[in-house]
Amino acid sequence: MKPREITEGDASALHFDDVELTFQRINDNALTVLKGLNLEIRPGSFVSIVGPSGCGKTTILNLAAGLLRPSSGSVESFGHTLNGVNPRASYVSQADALLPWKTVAANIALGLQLRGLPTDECSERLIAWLSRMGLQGFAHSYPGELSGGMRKRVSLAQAWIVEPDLVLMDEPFSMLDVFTRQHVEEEILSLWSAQRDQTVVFVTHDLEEAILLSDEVIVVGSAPITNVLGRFSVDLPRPRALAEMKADSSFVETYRKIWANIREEMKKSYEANAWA
Amino acid sequence: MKRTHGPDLGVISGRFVVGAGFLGIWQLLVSIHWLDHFFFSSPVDVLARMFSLFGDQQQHIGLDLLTTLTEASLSFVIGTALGITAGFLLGNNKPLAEIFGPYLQIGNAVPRVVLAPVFLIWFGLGIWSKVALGVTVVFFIAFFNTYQGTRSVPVHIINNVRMLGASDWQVTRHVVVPSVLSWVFSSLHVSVGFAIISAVVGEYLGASHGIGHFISQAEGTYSTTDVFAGIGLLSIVVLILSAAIDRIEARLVKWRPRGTALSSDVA
Repeated sequence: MKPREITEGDASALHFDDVELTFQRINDNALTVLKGLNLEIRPGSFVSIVGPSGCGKTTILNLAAGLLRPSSGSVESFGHTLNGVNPRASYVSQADALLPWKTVAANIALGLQLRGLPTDECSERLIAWLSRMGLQGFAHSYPGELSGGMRKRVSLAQAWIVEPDLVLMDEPFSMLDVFTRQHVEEEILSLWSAQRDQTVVFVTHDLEEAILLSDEVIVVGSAPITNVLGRFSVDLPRPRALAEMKADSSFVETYRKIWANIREEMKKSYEANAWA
Repeated sequence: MKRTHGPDLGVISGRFVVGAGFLGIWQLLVSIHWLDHFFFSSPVDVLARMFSLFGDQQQHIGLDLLTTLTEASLSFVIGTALGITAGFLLGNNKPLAEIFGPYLQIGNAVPRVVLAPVFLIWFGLGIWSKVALGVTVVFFIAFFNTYQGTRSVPVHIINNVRMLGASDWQVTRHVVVPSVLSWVFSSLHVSVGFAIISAVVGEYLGASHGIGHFISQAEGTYSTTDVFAGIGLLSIVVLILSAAIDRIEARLVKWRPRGTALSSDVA
């Protein structure tokens, strides 16, 4: 594992500078998803991006992962301009990206194997992650034999086991049932808060989930995303007990405040688009 | 995944009834002379002949079987190897694929049976004319499946593995090769079947040994019993091979392939 460089602590985990992204479509109509987007995410924070579906949230993650390149502008991560995949990031994408020919155990340990970690350390971490995700009995199953929710948990373990500096997650919990969801969210949260040196950026359309988990909620409008509609810091104390939190007055207040703002911004954005 | 249990008792007895019924009616119709024994032989005689053939000094049925199997195996191995190689090359090289693409389509469109006489002239009556025929059939099956496989390696899986830190070589090893192999394995069944068909067709047209040759000889003397006995032996061989491939496939593609085999159409 590469040692964490504290010296880079002041460089942004992610820095989008005037990013534009245009997809060239087959029928020659260019589709602009992002235009003039500036975004800064500081290291060690747990940030969620909320917005209507189809607005380009996933595109932002793909840019951060280095899987897409901006049409203009630049994306920096920890002080380095991305040119190819982001070497310090893990990505839990929305697509089912597990390797169907590898067992659950082999899938989870893949990142460690690729880095050439000694086998005993691999298996040690693997066992911890299998139990964390409630997958102990399924180590030797293949992804095709699992339910959608279980596959998602394998994906989460696969991305987190390598202890990346930046974790990008695209609606990671939406496939899970309520009980598992709460459990997995708490596991991820406790893992992150134990060290607080990992940056997490996750996309969701669930505002409640966004507030419960993150330090900051970034709201984006409908496509093309020209800028963020608002950034709201969440000042709920940590560690958070998710189940109790929802009834907590400070949560309700934050939720109301953000929602009021979103409504306002959405209205403006729709009107602006309508007259544009 | 549902474990593939054997078929249940109802299915097995159903199969038995259908098989026994077919043979029974055939036997009955011949016995009451509704069917002429000269043209249709009878199941009992065919079965008896299948056993007696092995003791028959006039015939060399063991050698015939061995010859056909040798030809089929050689064309299977050579054709698959060439097909996989070509599929990988063209799948990973777009200009090459664009240049050779139309010719491969043309090649595949040629009914391979018409090539048999040509191969007979080129390679003679021995096994190699049959192997050549089989190779032209098996090659295209392996080629198209491999080509399709290299083209349909899931991009999101490649991206995921690259995010996890894989080098190009590791992407090939962990994603491309297994993905392509799953396509290739699912085409093995079809390939084995066609390898045998090609061998028999080749022998039928001109050979000194082999099941095809045996059947053609029997036909020449109007010995329907021998023709059916030859067909029966051949079927048993194909069934055994097919079961063997099933086993191999189940072991190698434990995780179950998603893609189904493309079988090139063979005339």
